[in-house]
Amino acid sequence: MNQKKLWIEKLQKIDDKVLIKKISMDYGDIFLAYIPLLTDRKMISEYIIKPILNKKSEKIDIEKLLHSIIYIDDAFSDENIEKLEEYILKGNSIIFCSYSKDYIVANTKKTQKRAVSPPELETTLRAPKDAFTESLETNLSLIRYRIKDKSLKMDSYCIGTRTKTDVVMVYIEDIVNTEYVQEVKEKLSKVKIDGILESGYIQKILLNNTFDMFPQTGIAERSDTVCANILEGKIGIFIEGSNIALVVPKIFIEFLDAGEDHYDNLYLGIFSKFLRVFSLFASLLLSSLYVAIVSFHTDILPPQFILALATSRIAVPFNSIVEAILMELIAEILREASIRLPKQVGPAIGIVGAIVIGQAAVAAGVISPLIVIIVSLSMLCSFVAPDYTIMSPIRILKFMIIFLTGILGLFGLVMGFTLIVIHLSSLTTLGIPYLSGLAPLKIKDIKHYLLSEITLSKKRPSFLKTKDQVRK
Amino acid sequence: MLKKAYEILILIICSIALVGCWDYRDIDQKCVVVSIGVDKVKNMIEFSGEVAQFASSKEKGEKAQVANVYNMESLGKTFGEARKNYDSSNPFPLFLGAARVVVFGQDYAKEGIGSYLNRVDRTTDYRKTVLAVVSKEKPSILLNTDTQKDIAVGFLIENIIGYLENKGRSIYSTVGDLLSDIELQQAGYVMPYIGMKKDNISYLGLAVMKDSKLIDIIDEKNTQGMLYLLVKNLSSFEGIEEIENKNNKYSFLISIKKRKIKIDYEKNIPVIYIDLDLDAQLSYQYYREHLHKKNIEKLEKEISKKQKQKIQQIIQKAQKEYKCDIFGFAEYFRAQHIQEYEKMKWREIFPNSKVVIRVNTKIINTNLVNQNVKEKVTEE
Repeated sequence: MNQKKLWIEKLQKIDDKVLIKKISMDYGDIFLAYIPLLTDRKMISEYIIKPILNKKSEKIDIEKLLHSIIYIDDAFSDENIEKLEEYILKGNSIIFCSYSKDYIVANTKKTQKRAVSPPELETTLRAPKDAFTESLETNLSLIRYRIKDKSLKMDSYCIGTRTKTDVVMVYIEDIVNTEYVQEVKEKLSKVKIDGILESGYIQKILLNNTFDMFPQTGIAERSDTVCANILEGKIGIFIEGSNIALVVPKIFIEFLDAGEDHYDNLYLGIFSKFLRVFSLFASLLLSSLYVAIVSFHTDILPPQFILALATSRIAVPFNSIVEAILMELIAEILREASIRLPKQVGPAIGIVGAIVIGQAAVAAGVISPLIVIIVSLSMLCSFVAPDYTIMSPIRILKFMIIFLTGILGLFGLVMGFTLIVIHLSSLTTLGIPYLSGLAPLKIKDIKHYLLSEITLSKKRPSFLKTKDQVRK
Repeated sequence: MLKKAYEILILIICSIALVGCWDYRDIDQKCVVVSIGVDKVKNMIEFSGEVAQFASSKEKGEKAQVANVYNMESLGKTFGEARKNYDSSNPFPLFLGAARVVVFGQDYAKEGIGSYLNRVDRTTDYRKTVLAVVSKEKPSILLNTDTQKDIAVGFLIENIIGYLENKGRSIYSTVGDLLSDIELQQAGYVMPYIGMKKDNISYLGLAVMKDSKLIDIIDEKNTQGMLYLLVKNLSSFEGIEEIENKNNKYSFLISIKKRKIKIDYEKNIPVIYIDLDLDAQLSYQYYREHLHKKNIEKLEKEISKKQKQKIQQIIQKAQKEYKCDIFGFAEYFRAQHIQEYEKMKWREIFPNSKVVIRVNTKIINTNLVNQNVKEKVTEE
């Protein structure tokens, strides 16, 4: 009897929302404890209370209750009183009785789930449309559904002293390089944090240096992207409550690789890759090039262009640097605003951007028409990358290069670009050089990357150092 | 991190101090020169030229307006003084990077254009690919002409010469080319000669320059023989030849298939072998008639003969009258006989050198010549 009191006290200490229900039996009482907010109450009454009451007259112990009476599939018995708190906070129901030391943990979790829906970040023309949801189980089931391999491993961790979030590492054991698995494991186990709310937290934890600008983990919203990466020998990381999975390691050139390159026409894949590389450079350098040409090295252009350029700028009161920085800032503001804007007023941003800032500003002679073309082109280019995270540093570095170009001309542009390349080549992700393929140069990897054709490249990329090199 | 920041800081400070990109100036804050004229007026140097005038795009609504030009003029005893005089009446610094043409007045060209070419060579913002021409009229008058055909006279001249060069009817002599010709010192060169013809600016012929001084002008009619030797792009050459025969007249379009120039050096006399393979294409006949194989051969021979005469005439003129190699043979000689070239003075031995010319013409469109295509060219 004392024990029963102790348990009830302990349970009530956890949370005053804990509900303790007494079921009176002929031979003694059985208690059921749960938090109504987290549990499926229909399940409790149908699968736990109802079968117990049916055996009201029998003497039942915990063993019998677990194995022959309750209808819950995921249930087990435990006697460690310390763990009680963890179980109940995770949405389990606890069954105990006045005459036994053990208790039963029955999974009666209820979570608000959203149905699998099409991706929003990684939209494509041709690719499966099942994107991840916030439910970890759903996400993992999408992976399992695609890869029916017996060596697909799912290692689970609980991170966050307060949120107790499940983080699952998914990889194929006989392909992946064990060093990467070890390193990720180590990094995850060292984490001391009170809560993980989004995969972005883990992404930051996996960075070598907190101040690194460039992303070193890929984000994936579509399940086929993650599966393709796991098959390559990478590790997928899923976080409970986050609809975005992480993929490690991911190197620079892979950020410009889209899933449909692999599904669609071979030549189109190569073409669009070049297009993306060009866009990346254009987004970074176009405005700076404008500044360099207008203010320092007009001689680069053929004479007709010089005249056209000068004509377009004649009424502009600003010098080219101010003009470029101003327009780039306006473009960034437009982008920022368009993210926050409710969908209903979305078209307004188009009107503001196109008419007010584009046309009216040019007509008023405040800015030259050319800079409008350049800035909008460079902004358009920044949307080309399949993984938008690679563009975030480019957006910031663009300003640095414009500034340097404004002081030093073309030399400044080259200097800024060189600094970025030096930084990029000094980065590593899980020990792999960030510019792998380009530096150190591996023609085979580049070929494999450009072709992105499963029938032509029979081997996995060499920089991943997988256990199993051959795709079979 | 901190160390890295220092390194970057030092890099930036050093480059600001050393690179000296202090020439920051927006393009609309410069006077963009389109063409430059150089002439001599009463022992004074006269600079003239066209400067781009930018109308605000506001005036014509949203459309960007095409640039206009205004004319500049300045006098001075020296180049420097003329430039200085010009600068004192100018809102912005001159920008010469967009200059398309340098026009030398005839009077100035007679006294030698070498000094101005050297000035171009040393002026950093001048393009070395700028076209140089000699003008019959004073440049200040020529560049002031009202023209409807192009944005500016400078562009017009450049486009005319560029088009003619493309067709093999003139040469496009850039300042860079001329400078390297002068560097050779052993030969003369030719430049396009332009002027007003019935109120229009047009190409008149080639100006012959010896020691950078104008010595003669070859009329456009007589330049074809010379162009066979000078044209750079063989495939684009288009010569026209009309042959009168009994009672018909044929117009041919001639192109150069192969040109080979070889110089032998025998008994202190250079022998210049010129080997030309021409393709002739019959454009039209004045009266349509059947062409027979014999006729074709006859025509081929006649074309060859005429072209050979043209080349011979101009070379003879150069040897006897100009006593100067204006065909660039000097470079062939230097390439093929470097030892002799270094010992001899080409300008002295050129007038006495022998010239052997062989011209071979082939009429290429015999099928079209034949009215009855299915029939082969018939024997008469």
